[in-house]
Amino acid sequence: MYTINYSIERVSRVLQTVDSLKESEFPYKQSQEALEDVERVLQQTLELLTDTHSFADQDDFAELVQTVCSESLETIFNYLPLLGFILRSTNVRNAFEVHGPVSRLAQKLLCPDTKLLVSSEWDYSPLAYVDIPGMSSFVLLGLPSPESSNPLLIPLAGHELGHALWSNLSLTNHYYDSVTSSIQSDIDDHNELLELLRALYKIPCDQTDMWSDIIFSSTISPAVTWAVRQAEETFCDFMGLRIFGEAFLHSFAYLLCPGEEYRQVEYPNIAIRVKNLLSAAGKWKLSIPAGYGNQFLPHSASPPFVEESDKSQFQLKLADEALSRHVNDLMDRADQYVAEKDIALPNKSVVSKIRKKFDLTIPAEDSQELGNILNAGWMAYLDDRLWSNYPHIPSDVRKDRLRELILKNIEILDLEQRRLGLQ
Amino acid sequence: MILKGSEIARQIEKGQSPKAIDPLVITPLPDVKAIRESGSASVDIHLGTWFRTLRRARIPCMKTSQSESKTGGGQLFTTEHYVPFKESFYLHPRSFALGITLEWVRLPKNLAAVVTGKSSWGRRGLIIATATGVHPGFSGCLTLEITNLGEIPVEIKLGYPICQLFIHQVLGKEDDLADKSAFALRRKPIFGAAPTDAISSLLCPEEGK
Repeated sequence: MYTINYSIERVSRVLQTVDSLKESEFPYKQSQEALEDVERVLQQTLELLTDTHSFADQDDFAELVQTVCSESLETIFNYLPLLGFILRSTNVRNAFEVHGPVSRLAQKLLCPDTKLLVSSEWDYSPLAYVDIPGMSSFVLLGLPSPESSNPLLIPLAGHELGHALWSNLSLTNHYYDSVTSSIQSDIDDHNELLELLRALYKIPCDQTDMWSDIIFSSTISPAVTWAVRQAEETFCDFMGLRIFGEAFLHSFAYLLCPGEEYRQVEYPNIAIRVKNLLSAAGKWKLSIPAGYGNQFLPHSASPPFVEESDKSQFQLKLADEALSRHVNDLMDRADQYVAEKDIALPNKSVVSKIRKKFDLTIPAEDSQELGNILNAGWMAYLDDRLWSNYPHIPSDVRKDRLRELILKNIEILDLEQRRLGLQ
Repeated sequence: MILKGSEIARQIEKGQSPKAIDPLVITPLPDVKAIRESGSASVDIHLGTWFRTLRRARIPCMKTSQSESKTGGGQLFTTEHYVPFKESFYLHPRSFALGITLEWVRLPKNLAAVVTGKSSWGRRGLIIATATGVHPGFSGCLTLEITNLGEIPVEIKLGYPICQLFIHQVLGKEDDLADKSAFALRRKPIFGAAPTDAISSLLCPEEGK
């Protein structure tokens, strides 16, 4: 009976941790509500564990204990990181001013009931938790801790919200079928690929049903999975660009350029990502920063396991090819979806007006959309002559002070949106 | 010379022009019509979202020689708090906190200002911004020193008018010199470094280091 008692104690201790977290200073009610949702899930788990005792006289009691305890452990594995996320969302290092405007953007984009948490992660990569069981209305956005007060990286939230949208629209299923067909026809249409497939996997020449379940799962299934993941990342890049315009290009470069040596198979090669972004920027008539593409170096090495295996190299090639056939579709889908939600591209004249205010060291009123502020912010950030006519602002603190000004501008936008009755 | 409400309103309106080069700006924009018609000689300023309270437990005392941290916040001595809109900050008797104005204020080179608490809060024991001077060229949110001298805790709602800005004309040549205060271009209250000068360096050489 140790198993069940240990399990009950484990879950109880996590619940005690929830109790202590409830005493945090919450910057907005969503952090508290997320905590309450996690508590509910854990309490249900605890009740299930406690109820298990009442089945002690049943023959399959041992199996039942095994199952329930194993599930409870999985619940802890899944939800404890979320508690850490919620706790970090209360840290004053975060730029709480962005919560209101980004929440409203998420509600417009996803669903009016969407609840957003913005937090900081001890991982140098923005991330999103979406579709969390028991917390379906929540989207959790994490920015790298050192950048959690940097408003210039908020455009990356556009990419992360793209993941939530991808999930809401069940696009994995849609693209799974489409990518599978694309890869199969690629092989069917190109004899050299077919020969390579047969040689790599030792498929006999008299095997005519090339796409039986067994052959499919042992040959191209990983390629399909990788291509679909790459399609999701590509879609999310387009979402960030479509919502935030040029500012997304800058924040993308800030975070990623020149790129790492090793490529991850779930992402397109960085050079392809940049090419796709620039292609969309051209299509949507956005300004492309001079020399933008030159900031990135193509991944010089595949992931180690791909390098070592001919089969993985073959599969990655198939995935990359399949993605390239879907890029335009992904671009149009992102554009169409954002347009349907009445989210306009940043407005050049408003951006210019805000930029002029930044020159005068003041925030702007009537910025209308977050994207306008962030584009003006990036323009100011990239201007070497910013505040050169204000000698009392030392040049080494100008960028920090600009970030302060941008955040104040975002707070003013929040106030204006509240005046319009937006929650 | 203190500017009257009508003149403050005129200067604010003038500062709204896209052609303004060195404007007086208060953002969010106050009710200019109300200022003009008030007959007063000040602008009400509201309480913002960030606060700092002193840490009591781990610092034996605050020495004047201890300078602010690199981030300017004085994290060694203070704890930062964020209070969202629609909520309140509670200041207990004989407690001290740094607050911040909701408004971002920019003064041109020919104007200076003095921040004083509103008497309605003073009568409740709350002393705010003891005659803080704001120099020409300042731009940013104003750090407020808030103390509850009363007997009972005071609830201060965010967004309430908490202090007032008296704006003065500055006489003398308008040159490029402007406020070098470290408080400029900030949205959070900061602790700042204790000031030193030639006399303090002479009399307290250790402190001045």
